[in-house]
Amino acid sequence: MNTVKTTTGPRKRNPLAKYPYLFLAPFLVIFFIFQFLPIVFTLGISFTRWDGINPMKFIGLENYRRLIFSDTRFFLTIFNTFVILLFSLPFTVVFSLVISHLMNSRYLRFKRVFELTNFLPYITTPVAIGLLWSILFDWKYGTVNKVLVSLGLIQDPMNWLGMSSFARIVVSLIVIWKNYGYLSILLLAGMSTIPPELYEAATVDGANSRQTFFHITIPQLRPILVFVVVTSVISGLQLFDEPFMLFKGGPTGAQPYGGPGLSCLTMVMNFYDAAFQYFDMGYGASIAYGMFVVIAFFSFLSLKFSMRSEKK
Amino acid sequence: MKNTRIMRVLLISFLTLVSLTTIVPFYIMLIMGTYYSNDLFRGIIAVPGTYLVENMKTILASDFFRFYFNSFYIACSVTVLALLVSAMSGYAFSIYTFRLKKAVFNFVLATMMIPTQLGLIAFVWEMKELGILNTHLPLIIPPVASAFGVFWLTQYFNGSLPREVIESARIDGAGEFRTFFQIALPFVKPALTSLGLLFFLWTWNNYLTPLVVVSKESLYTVPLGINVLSQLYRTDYGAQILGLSIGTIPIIVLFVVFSRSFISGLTAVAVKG
Amino acid sequence: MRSLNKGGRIVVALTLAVFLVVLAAGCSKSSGNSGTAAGKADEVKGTVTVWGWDDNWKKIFDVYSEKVNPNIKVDYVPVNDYAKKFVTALASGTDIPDMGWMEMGSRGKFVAMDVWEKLEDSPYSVNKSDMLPFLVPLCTNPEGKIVGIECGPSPSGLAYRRDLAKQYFGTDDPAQLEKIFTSWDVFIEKGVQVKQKSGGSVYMFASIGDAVQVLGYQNTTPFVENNSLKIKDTLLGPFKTVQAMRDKGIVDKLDQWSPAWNASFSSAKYIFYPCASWSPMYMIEPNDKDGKGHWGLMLPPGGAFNWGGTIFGIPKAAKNKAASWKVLQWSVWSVDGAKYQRDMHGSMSAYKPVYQDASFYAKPDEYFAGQPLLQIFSGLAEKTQVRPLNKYDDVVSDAISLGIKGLTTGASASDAVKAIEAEITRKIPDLKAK
Repeated sequence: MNTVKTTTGPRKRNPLAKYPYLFLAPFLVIFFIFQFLPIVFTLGISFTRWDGINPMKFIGLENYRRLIFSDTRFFLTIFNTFVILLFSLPFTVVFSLVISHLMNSRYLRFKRVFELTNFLPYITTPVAIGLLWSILFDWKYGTVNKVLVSLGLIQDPMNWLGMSSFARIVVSLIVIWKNYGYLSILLLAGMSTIPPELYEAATVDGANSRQTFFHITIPQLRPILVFVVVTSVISGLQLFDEPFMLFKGGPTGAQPYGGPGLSCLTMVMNFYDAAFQYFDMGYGASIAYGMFVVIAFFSFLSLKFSMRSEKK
Repeated sequence: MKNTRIMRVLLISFLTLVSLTTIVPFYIMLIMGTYYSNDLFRGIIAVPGTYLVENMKTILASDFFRFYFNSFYIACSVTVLALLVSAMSGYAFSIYTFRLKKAVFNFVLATMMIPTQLGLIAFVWEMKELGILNTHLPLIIPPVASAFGVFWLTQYFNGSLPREVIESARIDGAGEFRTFFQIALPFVKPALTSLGLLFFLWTWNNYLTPLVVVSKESLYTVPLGINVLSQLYRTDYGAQILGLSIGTIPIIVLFVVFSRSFISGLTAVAVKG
Repeated sequence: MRSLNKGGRIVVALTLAVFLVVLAAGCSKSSGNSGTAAGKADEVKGTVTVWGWDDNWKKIFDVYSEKVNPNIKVDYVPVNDYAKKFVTALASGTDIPDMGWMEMGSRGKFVAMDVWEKLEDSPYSVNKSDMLPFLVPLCTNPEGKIVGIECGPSPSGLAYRRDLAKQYFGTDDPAQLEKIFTSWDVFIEKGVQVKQKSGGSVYMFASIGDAVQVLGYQNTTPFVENNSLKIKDTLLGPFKTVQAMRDKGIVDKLDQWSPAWNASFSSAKYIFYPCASWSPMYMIEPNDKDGKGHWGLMLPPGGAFNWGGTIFGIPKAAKNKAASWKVLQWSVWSVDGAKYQRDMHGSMSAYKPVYQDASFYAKPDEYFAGQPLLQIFSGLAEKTQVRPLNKYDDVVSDAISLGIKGLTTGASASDAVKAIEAEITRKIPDLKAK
């Protein structure tokens, strides 16, 4: 049984064989009990019709049939999520790479101050962000419209939050603004491990800073970049907070849930709506599993893609 | 020399410009806490209002310090435990080769793709069966197993821990756990710092899980406690934002204290590498 | 995955076994009936757990346990996102509070669940004829049984700016204005005159949402009947009127509840707002802090309507039903409690005997130039038309806000209604639009 090997050890009867399991045990045990079991149980719920109160009714694959064949909403949410992801992800990654590269520059002073300021959007309270952005982009009284009109760039105020495409752009902007600092912290942690000698040697060889960036920083940073891109794709596909801040709906919400024409209804918002707002638990579970398939497919795609480029 | 100075000025002015887009909203959030709730909705505000004391009174009328303490110790526990567990798992994936390694790693990755709220109902039911509903345990234990943390540290170990270091430690006769704690961990200090900060922040801000597992006011966390500062048709945003702003203090303090170790992490690697 | 070895198979088998156990245990959730509600007043003791979102009620409950009945303590737990928490607790079979609150928005869903004590039955023995008549359909489940008592009846009329009314209609007296505004046609006609006189700077309503809030709810046709959607029957007419208002430019296009809308109350540009019994306290005063005497309250053309409100009920699975009923009865179903309700919560009572004392709600209101608001609302209550509760009310009202957005950005009334129907049928495939 124990044909475990380590990077150093001999092939047979390895005294180190038990260690990987010991190291992994706490994670796996906690994960299994507290996260995996509930998720498996929820798979069971997805084959039922259940409002949380009345007894569950087993309905087989009906929820999945409805999800794929009769509910156009599910595909709309996939589309919305992807549009926002495509608007925001490339900008966020490139921008945070640039920022962290600049922050890593030896010319820079007040480094820690900038580290903190970049991170501020990530810790600014969502309620405040939602309020702020809805005031900024208000149709009649918003700051953005006032500025644009006074500059003569537009004639009449734009209804930013009232029109599908603009609403998606505003959400993407918030996503970029909120996340770039967090990503640059991860990238900066990665850059801090690149041995300075590499840069020194390159400078001696006469490389300019652009060259060192592309030939030293990027290659050295690969594992971290893979991490950043893959986790950003995964979390981007689970986008919830930013559109929810603006398009929360409800009896005292200024904007309908999911935005004008449901243009900012993401996959998770749709799930949340079904499971926790109109308590269609069985269908909600099937939305989540449908979503899981979509996310898994594209995450693995992005993983494969970035892993391939990792193996030089 | 002159070139350097120009570089420096350009760099700082660019970063300052970027920082303005982040500082201004944060500043506005802070001064929002000094306004009467409904005055917040009249447009962008720029100077502090006069309602700070009133909002503070509203907050203190609730059991705010208790909420704060609860949040603080929960977030600290999660951060420490999750860092330890993630580092151990990341180390296992990075250093050892073992049966089904790839499958297990992919499995960990896959778990990140499941929206966190998915199993909520079943989770609450399970907590009830375990008899730990209305305690803080359901808030502390589950997030300790963080797939994100495992993935991050695996990648980081892959990128920054030279195999030879571990091998020579083994040759010197250090046990596996000692090697891990004394040799390997220092290499990933910057990663632990940034990850720890995120764990703290995520736990601090978590709203949905506390909402459904805790039904005693004395066990409330800050987001939960702050959220009830409202009545049905009127949410006291001024007081809420003030409370939540006060909630960001520990995060900023942690950030300032620990960002030092980005730099010390750098020197550690430089010396050893 | 490659073929599983023995160990792998054991893991799979174990996982499946645990899964099945969990599932089985979940399905056989015990439906334990705990506690009896019977018992004489003095014998009932204990602690009543209440989840709520309004601190004023905590204070009223404190009065109860301090002054009225020291045998009963009320453990008030402030809860936001009530529905989410409550349903999760029910679904996972965990402890639920002894008193449940149901807000108008999701009330239809809650009363349709068979989890509430029927309050007309013994030992509660609520007499339906003691309840303000317009509330009865808002407190009954689909079987027609009362399952909750309203804690803040919300009959609604129109609030108006007195200065603007005087300037444009020549009077700020509600009775005179009611005589002028006999129908929505007149309302539109007058609105056009206001627009001309003011050069387009003064509007009748600030928001399409405000207009729909009034017109869309002066109506008793249910949204859903026998699984068929009646949106067209009940909303197309009002939407057409609102579209006419929009096309004539007498409604501004602020989003209801948006920052700009909140600020509009003090701007003296908008004459009318929908006004429920809770609006002066939660909507008008906070938004027009210096507005004492600015406001008036009148019956809208087309009659009074209901906007909001919350009922208290007792869950069947509650542990302490008898004590819970004592608290509930005193606080929202008694003349004594009505005083505290009036003075500490600012709301009127659902309990009819309270209204025998004509001066009970006579206190004048400063914001409304001395109009005795609660008394006027009691008058409106008699003319309030309500649409019966429906299981899908929350889904419908979300869809309506999409429709309002459509109207605001230029869609026609019939397109907006179609969009509402499409949205509802997507969410609830059981429902059919005709």
